[in-house]
Amino acid sequence: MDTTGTPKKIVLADDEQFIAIAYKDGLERAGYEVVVAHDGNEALEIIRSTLPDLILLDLIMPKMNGFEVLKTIKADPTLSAIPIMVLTNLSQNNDETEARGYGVQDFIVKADISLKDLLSRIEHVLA
Amino acid sequence: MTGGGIKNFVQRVQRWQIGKVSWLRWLRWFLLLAAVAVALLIILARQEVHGRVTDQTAQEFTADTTTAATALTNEIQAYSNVLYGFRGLYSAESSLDAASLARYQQTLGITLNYPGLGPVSYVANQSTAGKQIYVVKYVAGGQASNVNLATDATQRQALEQARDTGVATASAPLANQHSFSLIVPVYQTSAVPETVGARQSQLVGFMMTEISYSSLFTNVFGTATNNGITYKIFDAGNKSTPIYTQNLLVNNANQVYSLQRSLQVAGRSWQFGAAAGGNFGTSQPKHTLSGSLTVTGVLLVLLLLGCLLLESISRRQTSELTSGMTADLSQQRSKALAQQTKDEAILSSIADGVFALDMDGKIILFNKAAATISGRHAGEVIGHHYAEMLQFVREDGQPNSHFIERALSGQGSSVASKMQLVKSAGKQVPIVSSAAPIIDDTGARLGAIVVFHDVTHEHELEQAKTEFVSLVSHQLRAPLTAMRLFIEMLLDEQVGQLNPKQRDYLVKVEISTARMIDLVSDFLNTSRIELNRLKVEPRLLQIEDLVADSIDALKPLATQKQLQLEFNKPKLPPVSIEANLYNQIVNNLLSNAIRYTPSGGKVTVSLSRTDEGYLLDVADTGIGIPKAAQKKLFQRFYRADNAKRIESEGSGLGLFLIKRILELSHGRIWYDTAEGEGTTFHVIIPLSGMAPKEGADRVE
Repeated sequence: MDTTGTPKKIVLADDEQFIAIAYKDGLERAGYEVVVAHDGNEALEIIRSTLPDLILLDLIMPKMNGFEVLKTIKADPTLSAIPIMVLTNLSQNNDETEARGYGVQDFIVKADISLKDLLSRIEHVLA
Repeated sequence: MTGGGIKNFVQRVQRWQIGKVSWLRWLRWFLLLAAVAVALLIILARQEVHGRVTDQTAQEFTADTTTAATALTNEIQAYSNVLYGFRGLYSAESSLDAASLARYQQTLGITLNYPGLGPVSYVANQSTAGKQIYVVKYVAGGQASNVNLATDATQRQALEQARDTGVATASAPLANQHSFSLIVPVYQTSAVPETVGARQSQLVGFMMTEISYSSLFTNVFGTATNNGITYKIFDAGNKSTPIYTQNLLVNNANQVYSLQRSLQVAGRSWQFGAAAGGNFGTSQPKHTLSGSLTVTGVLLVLLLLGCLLLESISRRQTSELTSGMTADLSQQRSKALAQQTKDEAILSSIADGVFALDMDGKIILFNKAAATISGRHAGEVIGHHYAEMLQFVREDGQPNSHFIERALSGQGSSVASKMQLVKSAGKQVPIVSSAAPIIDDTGARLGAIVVFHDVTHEHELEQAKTEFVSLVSHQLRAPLTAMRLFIEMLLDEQVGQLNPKQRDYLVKVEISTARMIDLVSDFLNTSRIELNRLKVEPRLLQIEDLVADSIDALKPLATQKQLQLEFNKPKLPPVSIEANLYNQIVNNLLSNAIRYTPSGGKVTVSLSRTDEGYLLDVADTGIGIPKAAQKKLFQRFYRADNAKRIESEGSGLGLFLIKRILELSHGRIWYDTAEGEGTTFHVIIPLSGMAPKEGADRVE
């Protein structure tokens, strides 16, 4: 966690309100600046406008699912370098394979990970 | 009766029938051949005899006619000799007159010995220069006519021919047409002068006689020819009127043998004709041949009758046998047809596609379901190689007809799951297929039979199930995840301090939430295993480290229950295993042991390498497994009664999952137990490690 400079900006795309709130609270408490998007379209808009340091991306979302968001980001040269961690409850192997195919930095099953563990994985990606 | 049975029966019947009929047939053919051979022999013999007879008759005819001609010339020669004798008389007698001629004629017995020979005359040559005068001077026993014969052209020609040749000369027919003159010239010398000129100058006269044709020929040929030859003789000077003829035959149509020759008779040319009819010749051989021909003919008829009789018997027998066979066959055919109809009905009633191939891979049978599933008609595919008509591909689109080729080559039956059949329109149908060789009673391979089942519905169900699992996983996990996060933050006192009671309650909520999350995971894992979607992807790992980690994670729980947890970590070579799966096994067994061992008990974990593989033993001093529970222990959702009494919560999925995971990875699980004393579970992973397996999911 970088406490010395400007806080790292994270876009959190998750349609689950409670989960989004929990993560937002936990991440902000850890010193990150967090913007929440509740669907794929909104996520892309925010990502384009904020150019975050990290994207936490859910896969199943309304309007545009996470795979489509991934595809769009990776096809856009201004966005393709932003690290992405998939944070989902889709735990099927082919989902992970497909997501990793887009070059995501991590693939995390939300139900399996505590906030504490998530924070350490984020630190690892941003390091 | 089966199709093969009918075929054997028919073959048997045919063999029997052929055996019975064949000797008659052969005998019939033999007799026919014999008859033909005899007939041929007879024809040849007849030809030969006929030829021989014909030759013989011709020879006989020639001989007879030659004899006749010779007799004729001999006769003339005899007459000439008479005249030569008279010429000699002229030389001997100083004075020749009619009386001396008559005397000599009598001496020779001319009338008796030479019938037909007229009286001999002496014709004197009284020719002067420029005029020929030949006067009949003396006639033996008769009056001389003193006629100048030179005035008669016929006589003159003959006389002068005799004069010039010096030998006996016959004249052309005389004016009466019934006779001719035979003339011998008389010269001054007894020897005949050598040149014609000398003969003319030294000619004195002629000895001459008149010979009646009829007397001459009757004397030579007899009154009638016994052997059927008739003669017709012409003088060279008159071809229209014969000098002699025997009108016994001869009309030309009946002439079989004929001969025309020129006959020199005393310097005169006669045309000698002989002819004979079909009745000429030796009759004996004809009679003999006719008799043998008759006998042979009778024999032939008998033979042919025999043939016909045999033919008739044979035909009747064949007919009886054929009708018997037809009846049998008809019966068998009816049965076979009934069976075939039944077979066809059964075959077309099968919901699975069925097709059969011959040894060349050509389709020989294609049932209704096969047509429905593949979208091709039986008429369209039968007779074609299956690969031309039916394309089997794997899920990845690669062609795969290995299972059919395996069956065709007699290697045995194979099942091919997760296959697609490309329909005629290019659309693919998911199928499960199996192929097996077709082998008859004798063990001979006849081809292969392929059965395929349209699993579109199953696929749809599977898809629905997968989607449901995905939905549940997502829907259940999301609230559980939120709960877990908030509880975590509360317990971390990030939003305020908790009193002990609050903390106690929150810990209980946290445990329950964790349990629910685990349950969801267990359900998901079970579904994945049942859907055969689990992927096994082993890597080389230190198995003892994995076990140690699990023990460390569960140690707090054991401590909490005041249990002794022992593990002597061995040093083992790396093993090819999938950590997720192995952890699942160790965690389940350990948590069970801890859960069902009363406080103060002991759980001992050991790991070793045996000949069979890597053996994990988890031994506890727990409640044990009741006998009644042992059979159902690995069933899904099953929990033993004594377990339920101790621990009300539990999914009953742990041992089920372990067993299925080990089955997938070629490992094995078993246990020893005594109720109230404890249980030891044994798990073995092969030395080669876990068997890899393709799949879409992992366990959690």
